[in-house]
Amino acid sequence: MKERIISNEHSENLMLEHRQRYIDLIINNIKYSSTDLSLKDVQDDIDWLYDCSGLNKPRCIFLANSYLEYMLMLDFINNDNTIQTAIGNHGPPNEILNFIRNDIIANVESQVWDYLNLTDNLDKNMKTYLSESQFELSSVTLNRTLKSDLMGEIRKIIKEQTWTELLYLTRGQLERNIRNGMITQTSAQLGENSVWYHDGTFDKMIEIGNKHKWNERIDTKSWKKEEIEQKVWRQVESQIELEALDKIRFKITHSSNWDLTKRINSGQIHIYEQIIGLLWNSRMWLYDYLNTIGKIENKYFSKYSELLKKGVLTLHFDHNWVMVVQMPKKIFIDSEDRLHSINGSAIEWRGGYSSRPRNYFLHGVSFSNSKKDEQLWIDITNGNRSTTKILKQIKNMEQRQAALSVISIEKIVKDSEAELISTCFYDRKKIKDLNQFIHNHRDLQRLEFHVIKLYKIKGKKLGSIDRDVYMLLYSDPSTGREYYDYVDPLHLTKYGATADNAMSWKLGLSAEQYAAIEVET
Amino acid sequence: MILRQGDIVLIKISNEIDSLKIPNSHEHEELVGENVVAYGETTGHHHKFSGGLVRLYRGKEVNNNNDPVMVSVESEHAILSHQEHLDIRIPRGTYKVIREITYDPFRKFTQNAVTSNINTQINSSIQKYNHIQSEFEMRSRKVTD
Repeated sequence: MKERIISNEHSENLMLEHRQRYIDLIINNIKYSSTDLSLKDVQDDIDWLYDCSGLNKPRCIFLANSYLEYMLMLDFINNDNTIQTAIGNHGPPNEILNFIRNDIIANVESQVWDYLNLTDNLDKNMKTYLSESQFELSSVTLNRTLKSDLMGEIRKIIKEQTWTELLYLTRGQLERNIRNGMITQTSAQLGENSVWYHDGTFDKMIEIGNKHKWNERIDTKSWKKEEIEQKVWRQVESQIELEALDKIRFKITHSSNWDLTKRINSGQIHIYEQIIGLLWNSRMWLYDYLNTIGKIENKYFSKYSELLKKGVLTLHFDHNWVMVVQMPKKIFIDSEDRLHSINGSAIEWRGGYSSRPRNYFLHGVSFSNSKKDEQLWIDITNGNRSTTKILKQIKNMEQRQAALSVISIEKIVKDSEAELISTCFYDRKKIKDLNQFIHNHRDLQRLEFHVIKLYKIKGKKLGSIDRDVYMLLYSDPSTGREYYDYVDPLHLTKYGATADNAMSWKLGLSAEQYAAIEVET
Repeated sequence: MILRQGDIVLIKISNEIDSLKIPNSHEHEELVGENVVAYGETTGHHHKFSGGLVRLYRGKEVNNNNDPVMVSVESEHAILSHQEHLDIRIPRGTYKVIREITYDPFRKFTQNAVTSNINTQINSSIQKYNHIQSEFEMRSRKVTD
């Protein structure tokens, strides 16, 4: 490996380029992995990981197309005797987790990912060619760049969203599909005989049972007999002549063993995730950067990193099996890295099974927790429905705020026939002593001229509200972004319906205190 | 002195910083090691102190959660920062913390716009999930050790 000599400026740009490329890999994964992962893509790398950890190769590799699918697959492995019998379930092998954490990641981190030292050195270098103000800016940017957990927010939302889906959604068909998919994957990798009803699914099993062919199967695979009797046959046998096939199928698939919701609510579910994967290795870009400039080379990390870059969101290891969850095709975010899309799902999973394929988000606020939520998102974004009708439906404050942030001001004012009753202006820049409060003086230019408007809307326009509604329109002094909020009409009745009074109420201040604010950012 | 950063307002009530420090004798309890004044509910943004010695206090009687209601800046000044708003230099002294409020005309209901304690059903589920996860990680670590 040859170290490249590059200028500090080039170094900084190169670092940010690597970071940007990593973010792009996460949010535009379809660009880098146009097809779904296949066993062939990952098998060698996974075998290599087991080999390096001194373990036998895993017997089976499961591929999941979404986080939800991953969670349900884990649940089946933990709770479904059939799958457990076929592949075994012994828990995470410490050898492989230690190998990844200690020999791959920690080894690299100990060499160069001591980002505090790295930042210090960069600071020292940058000081030689930047002016004081430029240096301060670069230093702040780089510090934030190096230390920030890039994907923390997305990771959190994906997990929360999946957890919500697991809790609240009907998954009957979804669970059956996923279970059948796992059996198919197991059969394909371990051979048909490894799964006791290798020719398919519950449906098929019932069909066979209905034709009274069970005994033949039990005879040929006698070691499975006890399990078959215990799990299914006893339930089927007593009823097979009494009930229609559909009813039996329903009973089996909805019996307590299969009721995921019940297990989650009673705390019986065992969903453990291992934090290994693309979203959990946010500083991988830093290794790539240092590798590019010839500062570090680690063949283990390079190989591991190549595996993740094939589009692996997360890897879950067991002694006998591995679960590979593929990255979503696309993740749509706003300028503040919050999930956001007004054109469709904010997370586009790669097909597979998902009971709610639409992950609707507006500026980080979810509109995907129910069908009603989804309809709200559609109404908000297509602009066909009256704002007042939409607002009447939204009970959640954050959803309302998010909705108002994407509906144009003109539409809100027009739809509700709002009447502008008061306006006030502030130019906080004019305050003499402002310099003593603003930490970075160059930021002063960012402070916006501040306009506050108070509108009155007739209560009936927003539904069955028995009094006038007051809406405050104000701009953020730092970003210039406009916000709406409602104001307590009792306060305005008592102190006067002015924009000043409305804003002071909002901030929990008296009118005199509001007028005396020394700095607003 | 009144200072505002987004949805948080600080009102200076004293130039002194000692009055809140005496243990068990006041209605305020120090939030040891805490430097975040308020979190956004979903954005993850927060108002946070840095670059100075600051103590945050919650009201023992006023609220059951850990929302700071008083702040004492013990150094010459401290920086209040936020992902969206400009940093403000807060001079030494004791301040009362006020949070912006919102009104819901549909329910005729007023509440804080920011909080450090989101108590929804889904969040308690997530906490349960995280608890299971951390227990699992602890067990894994024990085996590793």
